[in-house]
Amino acid sequence: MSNERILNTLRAPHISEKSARLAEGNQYVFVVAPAATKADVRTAVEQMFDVKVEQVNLVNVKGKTKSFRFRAGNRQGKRKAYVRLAEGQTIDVAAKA
Amino acid sequence: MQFSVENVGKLERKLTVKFPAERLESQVSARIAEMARTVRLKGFRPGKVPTTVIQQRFGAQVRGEALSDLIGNTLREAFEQEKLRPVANPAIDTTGQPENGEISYTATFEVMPELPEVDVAALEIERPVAEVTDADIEKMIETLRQQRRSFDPVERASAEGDFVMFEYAAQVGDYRFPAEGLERAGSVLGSGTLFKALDEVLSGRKAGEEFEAEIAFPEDFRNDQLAGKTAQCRFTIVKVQEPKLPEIDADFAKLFGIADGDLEAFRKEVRANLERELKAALLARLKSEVAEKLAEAHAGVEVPNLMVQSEAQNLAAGSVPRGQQPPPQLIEAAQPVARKRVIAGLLMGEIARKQELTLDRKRLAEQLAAIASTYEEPEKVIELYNGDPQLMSGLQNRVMEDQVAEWVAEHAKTTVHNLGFDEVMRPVGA
Repeated sequence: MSNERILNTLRAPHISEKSARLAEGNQYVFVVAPAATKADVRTAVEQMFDVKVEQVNLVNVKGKTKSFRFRAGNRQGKRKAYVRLAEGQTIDVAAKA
Repeated sequence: MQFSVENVGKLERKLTVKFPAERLESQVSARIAEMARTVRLKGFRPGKVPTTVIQQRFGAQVRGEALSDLIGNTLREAFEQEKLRPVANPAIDTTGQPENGEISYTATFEVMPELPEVDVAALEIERPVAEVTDADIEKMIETLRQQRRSFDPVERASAEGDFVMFEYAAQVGDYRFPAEGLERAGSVLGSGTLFKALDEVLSGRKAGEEFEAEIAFPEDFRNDQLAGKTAQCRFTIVKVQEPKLPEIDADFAKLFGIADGDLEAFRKEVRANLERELKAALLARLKSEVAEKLAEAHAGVEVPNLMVQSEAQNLAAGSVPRGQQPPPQLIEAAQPVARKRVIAGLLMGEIARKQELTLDRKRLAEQLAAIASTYEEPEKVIELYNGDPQLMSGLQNRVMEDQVAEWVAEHAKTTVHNLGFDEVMRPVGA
């Protein structure tokens, strides 16, 4: 896989109450590129954070439908990746890289 | 908490303080718990942010704050127990990392010197005294008249004191000033606005007259090309005006804010003004005299270097335009004066404490009113002072110094020195 594709895979860490709770169970949540595959996410996380990934789950979140002046519009959706790391490995999400 | 004091220099102290690391940790965790309840973070409902997230995000910052807080507290305790009086904020040096369960830091600072007993009675103070006489008032009014004089055009030849407006062109070799046409200028003859040679040429001329003359320009003339050279000049006199001093009458008095033009009231006003200025000048003289003598008598007192430095900085800053950094050599040059000032200031403070002089509220109010009365809207100035602690404390200091100076003058060997009004008003050292 090309270097560019790896660098473009991960968009941002997804920060929420749920993600904070999951982090204790060694699972981290990222917003990823819409076209990213599980394999993409796995290599990207393994290379960028230098960790061993055990499992990747992907979720598509549809944007909310909002109306403005009686015209329907869509917010942007996103693709979330739930990445479970191997036992004993961590990612410092708050670190500025 | 343990601490030890080390004497580095005569006034310099090094304080080493150690305190258990748990004190820091407990503070940090308390603060994080506090933050967890109040902080708002995106992605979390208020109050639902886990402490681990806060630790990750704000840990370093909170730790730094808690550490500096603890250092401040422990330092204050140490100062109290050791009865140290630091001059300025101490310089703190610490790793912030616990070693053997203890965090240690060193603080380096200078302490107030032990001031010697001030023997006021041995000081010889010259106290200047002066009064406003009627002659002074007349002189002041004369000056005011001079300031308000008007000029009327006349047909006769110009004489000393007249205002002459003229046009000229100067020629030195190939250089002509101005390059084309004539330059217009004006001068009051004999007032020294223009140089003497020019005044001489211009006196005895009527309006409309045209003539040529050789003029030797002085070395310090503002035009470089002409300075120090003799030039062939062409003159045209535009007009000659004679000065007219205003009569001392009701209209004149009205110019100075006496509404009904009462001359007696005007004189009184002038007298009050002069007296106020004289009083301030006398006090300033007395103050500098006292300060001078105090500093002379105790020239050997050890004073904190830091204070001298900052005073020298202030002095040097006063001699360059506002907002500019004074050059280092200027600060260096100001050192001896600064040292004297610091000594005098410290001694004066010491006297005030020993004699239990307290700030005279009435005097403060008077001083404030005096300052305010020179402004257009006195109430606003007073309000400004009352609302600004820094301004107010500056004023309080000044009043306090005045009081100390007077106290010293009363208790020292004082010789009264009678001076005229003019002598007092002339700046010291001029």
